[in-house]
Amino acid sequence: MKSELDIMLTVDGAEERTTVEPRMLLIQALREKLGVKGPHIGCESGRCGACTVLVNGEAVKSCMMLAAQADGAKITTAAGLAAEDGTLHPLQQAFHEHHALQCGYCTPGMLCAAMDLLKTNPKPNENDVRQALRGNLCRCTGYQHIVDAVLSAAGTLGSGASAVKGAAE
Amino acid sequence: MIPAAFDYARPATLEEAASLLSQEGGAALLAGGQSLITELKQRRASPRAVIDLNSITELSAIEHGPDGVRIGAMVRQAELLRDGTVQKRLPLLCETGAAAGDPMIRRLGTLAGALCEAEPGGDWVAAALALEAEVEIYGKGSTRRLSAADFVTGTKPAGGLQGEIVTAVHLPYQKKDSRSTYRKVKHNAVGWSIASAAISLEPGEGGACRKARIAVSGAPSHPQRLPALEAALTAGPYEAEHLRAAIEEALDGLTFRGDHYASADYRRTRLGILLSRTLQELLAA
Repeated sequence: MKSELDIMLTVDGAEERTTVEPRMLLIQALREKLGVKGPHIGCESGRCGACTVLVNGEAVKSCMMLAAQADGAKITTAAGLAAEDGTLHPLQQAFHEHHALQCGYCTPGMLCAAMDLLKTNPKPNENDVRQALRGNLCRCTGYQHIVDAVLSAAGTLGSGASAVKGAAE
Repeated sequence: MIPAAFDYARPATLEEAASLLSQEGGAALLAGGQSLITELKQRRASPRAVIDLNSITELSAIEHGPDGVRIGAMVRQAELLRDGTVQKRLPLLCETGAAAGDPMIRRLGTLAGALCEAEPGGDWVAAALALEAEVEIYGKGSTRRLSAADFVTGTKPAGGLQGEIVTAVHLPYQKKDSRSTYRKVKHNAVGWSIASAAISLEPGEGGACRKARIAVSGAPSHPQRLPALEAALTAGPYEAEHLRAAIEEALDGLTFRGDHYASADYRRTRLGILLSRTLQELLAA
């Protein structure tokens, strides 16, 4: 039994080591210990999805996981989707072009949830997209532009779905 | 929302977990965590220690047999729903899963964990009851099995577990000719179940069912099967009038829960309508 743990996370490609109390949530470790501000804290109760990140390529709500559970994991945040030179990922570009955000608070979570969808289902229909984003709340857009952006990104990526896979892993 | 402090261990084997559990009175077991972590944050649970089962690889297998599947306690709901054989042989489970939580919750959440939580409005619990699941429990050096109906009785902890660990859920495959569905009346704002029903019918001779399994959640005090209604459908024939009377009789036997989302009366009414429409649809199919 431990009351403090040394953990190692690879966050957007960078290896990070930190010490956490077992009760610390993954989102708190990311933001407060490591200064990773991509994922946001919204409801902190597993509903809004603003804190969604990819853990070993799979979208999870980082307020619903202990930092201790993520020890050794590869974390990708929305900030890690773009190329190193700052070129936006096609999904981010589609969000930009379709005006899929207003205040932007939900956007990091939306991007991560959509990345996971495009990895497992490269050719989603509108219903697939809406189901995949069911756990991500947006209070500005009414969702339509977000859905349009994800569908458009799926089209752009087309046979290049491997590009999505690469980034998500 | 920060949980109260607790100690933490991540054992690699079941034996190690069981031994920690016996040393640490009142320790909580962490599987998918999609209920436990909320309880910790809201301090509805403040265990002295948390034993994380996520490194016990032997709990992560989906094993298909000739008549059914054994689902390890750490198999994620998302992984279960992606399994080709599960999709083919357990359509009711997959339909229920698609209505449960959201994709991110299902990435972490487990079927075994959902049964242990046995939320009154639980989706997975209703399906497990209708599919006649069995829960495999390890403790004190041996393994026992309980039917889902004996496991989810409305008292906590589910199954009366003491120092024991749920290791798997066993599900028999649905018959090829079975007709099944999961329906839920959701609260418009929060999405929680006002009334839900998981139903599996096997059509028989002369308009009666060979077998009927009907489990309800959301409306009653805890998820449960409706044996009297099941019996009425196997006795058949089921004219609309008979069906209505049998449903009313089944509802009379339940205690309904009421809260600020929906009153007990409203839940009863909605469950009655849900059962009547869904059964008529399945029987006419």
